[in-house]
Amino acid sequence: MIKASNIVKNYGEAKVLDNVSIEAHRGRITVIMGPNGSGKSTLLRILALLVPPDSGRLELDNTPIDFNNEVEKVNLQKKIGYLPQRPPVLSTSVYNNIYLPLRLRGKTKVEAKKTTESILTMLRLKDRANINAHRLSGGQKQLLALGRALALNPEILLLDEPTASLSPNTAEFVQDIVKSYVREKNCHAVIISHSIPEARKMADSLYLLVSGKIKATFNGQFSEAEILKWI
Amino acid sequence: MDAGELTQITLLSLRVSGTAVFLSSIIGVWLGTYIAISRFKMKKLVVTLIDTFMGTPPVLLGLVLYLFLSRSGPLGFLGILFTPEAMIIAQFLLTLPIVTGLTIPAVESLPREIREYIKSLALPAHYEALLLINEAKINIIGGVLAAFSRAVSEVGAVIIVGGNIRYYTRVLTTAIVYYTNSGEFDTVLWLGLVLTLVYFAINVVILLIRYRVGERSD
Repeated sequence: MIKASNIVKNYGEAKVLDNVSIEAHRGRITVIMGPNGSGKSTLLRILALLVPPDSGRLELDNTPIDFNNEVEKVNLQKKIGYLPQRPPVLSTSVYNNIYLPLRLRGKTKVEAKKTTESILTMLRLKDRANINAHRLSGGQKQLLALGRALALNPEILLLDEPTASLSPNTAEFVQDIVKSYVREKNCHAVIISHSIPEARKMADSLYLLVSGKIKATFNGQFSEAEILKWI
Repeated sequence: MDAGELTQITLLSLRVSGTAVFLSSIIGVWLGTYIAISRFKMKKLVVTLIDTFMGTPPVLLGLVLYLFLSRSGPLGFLGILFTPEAMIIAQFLLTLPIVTGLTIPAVESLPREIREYIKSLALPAHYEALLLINEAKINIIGGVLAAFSRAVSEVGAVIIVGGNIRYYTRVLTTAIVYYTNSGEFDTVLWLGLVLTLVYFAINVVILLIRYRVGERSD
């Protein structure tokens, strides 16, 4: 279980996160919703160990995470698959965007090739494998970035609006991929979403983050009206 | 001056500046990237010092290097004063802060998303640096070009440690100084034209590289 307790984060005078506490369990999808500027992405970046909180506690399977311990942090980051809000692609081919991180993480050529090819096939990007990733459309880049995150076989999946620039059909396709990955691998997943239908489809638990504070938490079923009441 | 001598001077200029910038690029790009991605105390001071060294007067650097390489200096045992090797060292030292100093903002100015994505891969520092260099390569090439401009056009350092010895350490800039002092202005103008053409050719090559790299990144 990932447990964030009383997380506070300030950027200068602005309080971005104010005593935020969330939990994410294995094999379940935790969705965070909230208006723009409510601190969702900052929270996800803290969970990805990219920025330290000003105060608060982060635990993985009841073990506290020390942000000052670089070795521990790097070892934990190896378990994380992180998809930022505007997913960047590496300035190389579509194929290498998946293959290179695998190789640099120590996979053999054969393993990396096999994983890359299966991910590209799954994401329907195989015919674009040799073009530069910058030439892909926004939606295809989003798919590629998701595939890259999944290729590393993470135990913790942190996705910041993974379907933001996708067509409805592709968004549904991505939601299905993520859901089955989380169930199959029994991994943790924290997803930021702006879409209520997506949240209702994906979330096993939902947190509503408004102005840096958790305003409501839902487990299991929830209605659109319940969410709209807060955002 | 005959065509043979002009060719020899031009080739030596290219050899000295090219080797110096090649070496300073190898070290400076890595050093600049490491500084950009590292968090350490006094980082701002280090960056300020590097920026300061970018403006080192070549004459001053040449003089300091001369004192080090002269027979009574700490590096006198190398016996390389008044050789092309000493000129390469001088230009290497002159261009290293430029490449390093321009690589730091090139890497730091990459979009936060790409820096964080590469960071999130939890790779060893040299792999992280390699991926960042690949992302920042267009601006880094600009830095290398600036360093080459500085090297090929400077005269103060190479004239002190090279000695402007005919057929041995005379390069385009030191030849210009020599022939100006001798009043042979026709020769100076021809040398200036060659220097400009050499510099133009290098710029065209770099422009083509940047265009091709940029095209592949679009």
